[in-house]
Amino acid sequence: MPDPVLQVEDLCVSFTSGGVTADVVRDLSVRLDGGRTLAVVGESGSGKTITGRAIMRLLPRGASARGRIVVAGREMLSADERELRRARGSDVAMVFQDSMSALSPYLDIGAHIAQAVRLHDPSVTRRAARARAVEMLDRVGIPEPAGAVRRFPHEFSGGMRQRAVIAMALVNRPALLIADEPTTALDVTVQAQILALLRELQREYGMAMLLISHDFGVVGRAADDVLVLYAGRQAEYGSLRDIFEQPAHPYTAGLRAATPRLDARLDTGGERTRLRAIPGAPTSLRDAGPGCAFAPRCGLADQVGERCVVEAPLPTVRPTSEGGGPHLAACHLDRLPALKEVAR
Amino acid sequence: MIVYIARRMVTAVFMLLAIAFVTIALFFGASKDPARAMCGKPCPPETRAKVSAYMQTDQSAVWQYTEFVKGLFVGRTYGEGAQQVHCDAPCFGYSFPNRSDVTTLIAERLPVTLSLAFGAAVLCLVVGIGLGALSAIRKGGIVDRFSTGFAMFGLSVPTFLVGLLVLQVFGFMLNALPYSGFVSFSESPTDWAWHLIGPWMVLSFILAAGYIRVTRTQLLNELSADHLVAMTARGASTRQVNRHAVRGVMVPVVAMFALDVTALLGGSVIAEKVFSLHGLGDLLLSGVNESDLSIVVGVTLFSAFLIIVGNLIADLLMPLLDPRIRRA
Amino acid sequence: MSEPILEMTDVSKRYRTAGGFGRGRKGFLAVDGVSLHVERGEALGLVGESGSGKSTLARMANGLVVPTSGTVRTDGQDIARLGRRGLRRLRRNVAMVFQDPLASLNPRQTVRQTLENVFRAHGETTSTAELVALLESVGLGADYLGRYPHEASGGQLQRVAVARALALKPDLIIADEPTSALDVSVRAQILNLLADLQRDQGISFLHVSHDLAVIRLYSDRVAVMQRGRIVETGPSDEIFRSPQHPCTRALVEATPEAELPA
Repeated sequence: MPDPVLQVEDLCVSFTSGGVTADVVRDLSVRLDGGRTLAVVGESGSGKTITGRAIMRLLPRGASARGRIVVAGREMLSADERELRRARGSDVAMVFQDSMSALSPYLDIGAHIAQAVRLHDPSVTRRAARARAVEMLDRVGIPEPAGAVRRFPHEFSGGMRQRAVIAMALVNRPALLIADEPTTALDVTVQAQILALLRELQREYGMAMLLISHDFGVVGRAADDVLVLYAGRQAEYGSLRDIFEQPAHPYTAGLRAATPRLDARLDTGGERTRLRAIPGAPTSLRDAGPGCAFAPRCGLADQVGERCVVEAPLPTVRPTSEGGGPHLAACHLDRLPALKEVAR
Repeated sequence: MIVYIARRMVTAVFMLLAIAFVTIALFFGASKDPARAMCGKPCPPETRAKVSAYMQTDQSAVWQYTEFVKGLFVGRTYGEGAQQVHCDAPCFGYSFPNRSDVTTLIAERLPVTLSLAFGAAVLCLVVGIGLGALSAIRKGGIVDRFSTGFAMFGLSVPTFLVGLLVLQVFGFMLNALPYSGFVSFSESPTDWAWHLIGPWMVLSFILAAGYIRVTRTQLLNELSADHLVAMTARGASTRQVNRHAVRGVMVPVVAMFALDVTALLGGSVIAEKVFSLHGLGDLLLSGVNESDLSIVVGVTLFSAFLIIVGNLIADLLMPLLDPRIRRA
Repeated sequence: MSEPILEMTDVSKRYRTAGGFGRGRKGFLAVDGVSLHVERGEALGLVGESGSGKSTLARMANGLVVPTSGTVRTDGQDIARLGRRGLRRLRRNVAMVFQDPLASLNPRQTVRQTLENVFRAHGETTSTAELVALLESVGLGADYLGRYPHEASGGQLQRVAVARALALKPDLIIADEPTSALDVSVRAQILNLLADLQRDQGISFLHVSHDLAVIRLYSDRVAVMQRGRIVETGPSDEIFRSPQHPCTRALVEATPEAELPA
């Protein structure tokens, strides 16, 4: 088995403010091979964005990470500043949700990409770096790349700007790309194009991709495996097929049932279908008690009883469909009943 | 670009003409008779009328305005015969109390005001940006708390109070600084600076407050901006990232500075008064006291002109610093 | 059949673009000759990509944006002829729910104050019992009355915003992307709440969204907007089963299904 591009073991991220330290992510373990896409799915408070940041050691002030993160053979948590700089933008790169704020308003697109090149290879001349930028813009499907390098971020449409951000992230051929809600700010038609582009480039470069998203629709289009986070903990992990066809965590099932689908009303004979809502609001690890963080919203917690409130469930192995990888779920129930009972 | 500047200049000319009119109208609306001050202690009505006619202050505000505008192009002549005075075009008026045309008076006073403005500007930039940047980088630290208090104080305390305090402490109590007077730069650069330290401190203290606040908030915004996180994610070092953050700070600072420095060049009435400096502010004040229309209009117009130019420079600089405000 | 609650006829809106003298005289045509109506008790879904003019159109329906040309009738009355008082009466009849509940609620007012202000603005008084009943109708307990916006979650705030819209018993609610700022698991709660209001209280809806799947589930009829024009309208089942206009087809095809690719 080849070494994974990304290996995360028992990652905990905590925030300290006002002398109080609280975990926002706890006991997270992930393994991701080259050429594969792992989707990290979650809502607010799930810790999905902070996990992405932790992998690049881009945590905000007051946050610290424990555990182990290995990217392309490099230990990220023990790396010093110089090593980190070498890794960032070269071994691992990031695509952000808001392409406008991810680009400096003072630099043209070419300067951004050229900077990414020269930061990792100072021997490249400015002119050569800008030539690389033109090439890269062409590769991500920006028309007239030679003119586009001289334009500023605000002169692009949202979709084109996100293409430019992808060009910037991929110019050094990273082994791992972290895409944090890369299509959320875009129109659906553009969304589809950007996802297709990411998949295509991933195949071409053989890189691993960590796709952070809240949207099962996006996940279904792009992911090989899915990690569902709830309140900073792993709720479920499995292949896309297992997560979609035999979810083992009530939250996963509930989230799927709460996601509107375009084909859902075709054969209902005019009767309005309603989405099955999960009651309550998502919490963060900080506000969760000692038990399962999802228990207060879970329609099945009553079936299990006391245990859900006092004991946080650990991920355990679940049935796998043919050819799928490991399937884990952190729920005290061994088997989920039919979908309609999942949410209250 | 040239068209844009030309358009702005044309607008400026009209604005200045309007300001001149408003000044003249206000002067006549509020002021006592200028001739009264000039005609001496026993002032019989007929002398006063004569003086008034000679100074041309017996005419209406509208007449004054048309004469003033005409004077700009062809010059202006007051009185007749031996008492005739002539003021060459472009004539901004003639000051009878000073027996000189306003242009010359402004030119005489300008070096003082220029010296004052220059030093205060440099000092306030250094202190303001320096303290602002330090407090942003070490947010919540000692420097931050000190400069926040400093800025609050500077924004709320009136100039004359700071001026008198500086005079009291450094001038009278410590005897460390001269408390008045001006020595020109060409005479002795050290004496020049030595005499101006006091007023510089006062003015920059007042002005620096704004720069501390703008620099601090802007730098804090920049430092947490996503595009700088993205830059770190590309592999840039903290130093490179900080250097880039400065750029975002420069935009509002330049805008503010262009306005402040030109306002300073128009003369600082209070600081000049406190330190007995004979600059433009002092000239304006004496003009008001002596009901000298020509000086009031002349100095007001000059200040207005500087402010308009300052605005224009700021507007021209900003697009260079921030491509988002670049015109198509 | 009674007249529609909302009827817009050949409505256009032109925005003047920023810029000094002689610049952009023509401006930008956000809405271009749109005709549209909402029947009583009906939920009309308005979909389109960003910049298609759907929000501008929605804002014209209650007089927040004045059309450059065309007429807007609510309850049979021409908005343009209403005058200030009439416009206020109109706004009790036509309520709005916005995308971001945190931004649309005053952070310095408790929920009670927010709701009371709605009544006061229309010269009415209200009792605590009434306010509690109002909150209960959107699924919130009486304890929310004393809370400030920052003390509630996004979903709860959007319920408060719906309660505010319901306060004066409107006939029509214009909901502009009411769920796109919410978490997925909460989104369904709000959508179901709006659907209940339509069913139980007969309130009509103009539901603006970029999300076709949401519109499909919660609208009786759909209007598709593109570059300021309505390119297709029809019963939502029909539109989504066999989209006619290329724009609709592109939207339907691009909408990701939470399904395994076949």
